[in-house]
Amino acid sequence: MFLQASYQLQRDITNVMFSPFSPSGDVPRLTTKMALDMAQCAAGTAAALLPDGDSQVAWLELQNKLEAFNLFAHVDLDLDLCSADSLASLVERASRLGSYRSVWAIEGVGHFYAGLSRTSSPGIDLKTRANALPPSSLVPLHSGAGLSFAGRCLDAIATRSTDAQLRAALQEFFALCDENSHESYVGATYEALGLTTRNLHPHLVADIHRHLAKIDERLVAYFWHGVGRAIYFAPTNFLPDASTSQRFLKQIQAESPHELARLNALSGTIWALVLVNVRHPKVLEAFIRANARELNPEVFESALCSAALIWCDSSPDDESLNALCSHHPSGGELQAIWEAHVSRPCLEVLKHYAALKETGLGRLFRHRPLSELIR
Amino acid sequence: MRRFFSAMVQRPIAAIVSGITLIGQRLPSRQLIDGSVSRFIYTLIRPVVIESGDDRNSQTNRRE
Repeated sequence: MFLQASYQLQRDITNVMFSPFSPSGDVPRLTTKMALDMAQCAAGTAAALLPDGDSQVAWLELQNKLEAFNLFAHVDLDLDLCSADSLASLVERASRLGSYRSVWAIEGVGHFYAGLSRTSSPGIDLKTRANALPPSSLVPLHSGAGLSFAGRCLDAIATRSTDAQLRAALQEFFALCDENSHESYVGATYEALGLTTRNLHPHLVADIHRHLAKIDERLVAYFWHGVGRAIYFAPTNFLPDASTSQRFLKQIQAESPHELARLNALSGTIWALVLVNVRHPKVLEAFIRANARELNPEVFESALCSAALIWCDSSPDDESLNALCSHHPSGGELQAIWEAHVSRPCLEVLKHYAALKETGLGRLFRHRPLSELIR
Repeated sequence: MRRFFSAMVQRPIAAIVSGITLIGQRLPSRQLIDGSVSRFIYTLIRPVVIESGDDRNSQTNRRE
């Protein structure tokens, strides 16, 4: 992993040096990518050198976050993607990156490709293309496309917007999601609204919540799940600080206006934490150790199970979930908690994967009671 | 040349402006920092959509 990041960094430096002389050189993007690769290398080095403990876990988590974000945001630079390529070929190239990296890269492909439809038609139209694409790519593609739609609709709103403008933007967003999504995955595109709003337009969170509450409670749930995911990826939570995970819960409590929002935001944060760190169970172990008293076991298990199902669907050949279930934390009490609230529910829900996929995995992008997942 | 000017001057300025527009909003400090930093980065890393052209980053002329 470290060598991969170092190789990437060397490539970035060369690209940045020559980009001013190239007609296609996008210096700001290449420079940002280089900075992120350097940070990823530094975080990996710190995680490798530090002794086992909370600090090491914090650096490891930072490295994972940077890797996931970097792959998502710069997939076109990483894979030399070109707008002339078909969606199927972009997905195929992103799939070659390996079982972990490909998930984030395909989400980036969804975002990249949905962005193209601003200037040219047809759009990403996953509704009709779903059958021609690998089933494992559909969740990340929908999620990435949703982020592009949300960005596009909210960017059109000025800093001080009227109710009518906001309502029109939301209508446009949901129309884009409905037109371009397969019905089984539409929840993945709806949820992206919360992520984009919380991190790019935080002043609109309360107004959007109010509008959605008038339309449908399920949309409120998707929205706050996205807000929870945004809290996990918020810049101030990127700092490699052992107390970050405790801060998540406080932030969720402070930002959520009611119980449904709180449940979904908490679910979204845990969900993102599990998916980003699925290769490193000790990050989840540190989160449980720090928050065992405050966490509601039902919400935690439900978010974990949803994340496990999504990972199983998006990366079916990956062994990380098995490793996560068979992980043995240090300490007898924590070992019992892990067995009861991680290994057992996770193994149980994976038995129901095929049946849950039939009912639509997009529904997992909001809090579901555990009893609905494990019948 | 226009593209180079846009990348080296216009976009960094747009990123800074996008980041600071939130300052006038009534937001808790953490959300304000998150929003400003995210908007700054988002403006910098967003692929440029070009209507026509043959360079690699242009986002038109699909094969399908």
